[in-house]
Amino acid sequence: MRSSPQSLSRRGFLAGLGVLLVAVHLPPAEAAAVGSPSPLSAFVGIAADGTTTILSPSSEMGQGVCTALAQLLAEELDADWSLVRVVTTEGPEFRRSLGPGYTMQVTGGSTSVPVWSEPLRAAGASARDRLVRAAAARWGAPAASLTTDAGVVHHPDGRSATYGELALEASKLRASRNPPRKPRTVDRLVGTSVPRNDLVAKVTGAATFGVDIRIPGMLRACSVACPVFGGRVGAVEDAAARAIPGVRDVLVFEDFVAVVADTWWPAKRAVEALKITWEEGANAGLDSAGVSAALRAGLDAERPFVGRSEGRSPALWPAEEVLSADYEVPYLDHAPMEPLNCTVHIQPDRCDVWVGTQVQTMVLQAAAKATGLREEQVFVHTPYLGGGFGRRGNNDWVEQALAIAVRLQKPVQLLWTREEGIRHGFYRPAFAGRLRARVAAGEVRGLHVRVAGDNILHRYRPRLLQGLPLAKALPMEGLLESSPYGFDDVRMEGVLVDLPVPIGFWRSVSHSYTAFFVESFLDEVAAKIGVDSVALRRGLIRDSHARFRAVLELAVEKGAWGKPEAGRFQGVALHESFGSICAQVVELSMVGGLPKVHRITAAVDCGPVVNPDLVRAQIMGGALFGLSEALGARLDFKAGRVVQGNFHDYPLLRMKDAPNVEVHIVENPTAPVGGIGEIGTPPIAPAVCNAIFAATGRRVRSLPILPALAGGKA
Amino acid sequence: MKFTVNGKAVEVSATPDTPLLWVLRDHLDLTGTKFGCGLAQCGACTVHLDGRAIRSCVTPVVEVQGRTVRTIEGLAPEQGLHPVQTAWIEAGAPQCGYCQSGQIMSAVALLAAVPDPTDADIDAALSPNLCRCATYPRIRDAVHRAAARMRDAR
Repeated sequence: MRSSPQSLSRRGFLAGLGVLLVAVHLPPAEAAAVGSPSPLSAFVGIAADGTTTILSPSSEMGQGVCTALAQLLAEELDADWSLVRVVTTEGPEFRRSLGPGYTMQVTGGSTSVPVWSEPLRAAGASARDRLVRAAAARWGAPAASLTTDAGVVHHPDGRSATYGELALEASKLRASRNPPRKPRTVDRLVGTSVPRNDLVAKVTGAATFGVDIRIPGMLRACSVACPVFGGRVGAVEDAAARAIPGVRDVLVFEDFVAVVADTWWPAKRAVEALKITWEEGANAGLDSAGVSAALRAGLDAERPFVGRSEGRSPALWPAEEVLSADYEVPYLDHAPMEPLNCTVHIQPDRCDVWVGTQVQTMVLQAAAKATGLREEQVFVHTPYLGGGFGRRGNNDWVEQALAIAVRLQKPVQLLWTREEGIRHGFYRPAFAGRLRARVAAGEVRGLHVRVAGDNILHRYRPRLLQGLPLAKALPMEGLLESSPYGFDDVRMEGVLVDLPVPIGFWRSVSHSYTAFFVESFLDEVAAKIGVDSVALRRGLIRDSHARFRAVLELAVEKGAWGKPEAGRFQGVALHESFGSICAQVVELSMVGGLPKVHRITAAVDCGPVVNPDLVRAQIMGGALFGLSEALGARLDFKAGRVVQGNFHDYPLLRMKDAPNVEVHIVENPTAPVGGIGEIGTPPIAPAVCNAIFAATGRRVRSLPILPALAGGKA
Repeated sequence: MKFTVNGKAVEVSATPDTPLLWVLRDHLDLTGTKFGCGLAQCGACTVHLDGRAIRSCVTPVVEVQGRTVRTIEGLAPEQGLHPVQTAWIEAGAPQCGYCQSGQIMSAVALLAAVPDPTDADIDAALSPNLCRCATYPRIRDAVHRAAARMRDAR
């Protein structure tokens, strides 16, 4: 196998997608030496040498899911952890084996551990039960008399057999209906910080991402689509492009042009050498001012969707009791570090697709459609994802790669430039918020929030779904029942503003702005009535939301709320998303009129914890991902085009601006399992803006912060 | 075009303006060095040229003729890992991992010049390297751990 140093441990060598690549790339003799696993459930197989292959339904995009999911299964299996490796898989057969309700493989919405905890534990228990029964049959002993320990079955008389020795026999046994479970109290993997299983591969350059896939005879492609959303290709003048050495072909499609070459660099240069006349279509007039005006008009709309309403209508609030402020956030790109790419190999009876995707089923269906093959003839291979954050939950570039491969009839790898990625994203939608509070006798009695913006679900079929309350509520995530705060009067409203900009699920989705709106505005209210920010929140948390109190108190205690270092100022925010609660205390100083964040202290309650170190890593990364966008990133539009194109004008957080993030976990093992990948992101923007207010008395109501402060727009 | 990569002499036929990054990835099949931006804005393509950290995405291959290049694949000894790689594992730094080759190459170059770096030294040396997962605090920790390991080994 390519780039797999023999000096690495066997586990490191095969970690993650290793087995998959072995199966694909190695000659049969070598593959056999690794051992083909005997299947013991839809999720796990064990080879004769004990190698335990766990099939992950989730993609590894940095969140550590291939470690966490494996811990859950290996726990009940009582596996030898050093022999466990994980492969992300997809195929109609795998999907069918997961049950009738399982129609779409998706890694998103921080759902992997919440959704898969129980099925994976059950699969581990079932596999362990079969191994024990295989040993019982071999020894003529009652199964109940046998015990297991880290990949070995023991007989009371001292005999033992490894799982590898028993796997083939076990795979021939029927699965028990209710296999025995281990008591949770004896968990030895779940709840511990076992190191991620991809570390060695990821520090040696051996980890294979989509962009690293190499197929014999593979050509490289680079593509460019109309810079105006929805535009089409008009005329293409390609003589200069074709003259570049290494260029094989220029392929013109309805809405994009691709150049195919022996290597990628000539393909990229040739794309730049194309002279394309675009039919820009209806959206050529789009600009940022127009977007902003449309959002603000949405705030004044007559008939909003009402997602939550309690007490008196805000229309009846006495004017002298009302505080009001308008907020706004821009479009944002996911900008994963690995530019989008996809490798396709079509053969007469099969199609292989290698792509870092969050939606394997969509890839599979698109490949079947593009090639005319049956779904059973399509093989989707998921290498490591160089970041996802929701971007790879779309299929747009995969469809381009498939179209190119169908036309070429040769294996091909499509790789987008960074510019193409930033200008053709599925962005976090821009949103405006109008927040109103009723304050009487020094207390907050009512909260009225209206958000206006586009609805991501309008991009997805069937359109029928769009009318459902669930779909209408999506842009209001974080404002409804999950909100911890209670008031006499509450009204939460959403207004749809239909805009021609592609939008999608971006890490923490609607929570990314609802937390900013509400947690900033509550701080405004606290300042107005002269109450400490934490004290105000303590008073507003509903009794039904008691878990929030513990999280807030832990962050307040560990973050030394009220006792910042000299010259520093604090801000706090509290928000629930994806079933988990996170509070953050930020400490910053102002340097030359701009914020310098020194310290972030986070507390989180995500229910049962599979791997504390992964939880800390995700809250740290989630918070800093949010800080990145809060500080400097925004997308602008001019003449129908995205203005930004690369990291010089779409600035992301760098090391020098990244403070340490202390993460404290509230132990809550009996609560429902919550998500973790997105939970750290929502609270950071309001916590930072609240600290800026504490430092300067200036309230930042539009993101990103740096231009808002510089331009006096706040 | 002739130069040395990871101790081996190589000869490639690419146009002189081809960035070193694409020669490494597409001609020499050394895929540990990553493409992120193409404009020296993200550092994913960081390699060493005569011991100094450079952005291979903007370095035409003609400029490396006769010189010595080291990539992430050339960091570890025959057996085991480079102390910076070991420190990275101890710190649990990688998430998606895509930027980590570049981060590590920048850190190795820093430690060669400044064996016992402060936080400020690390921030200055590694700020050209973007990490979208924002693993920065753990990278900072890993660099300190690496410095300690290398100090102990001396």
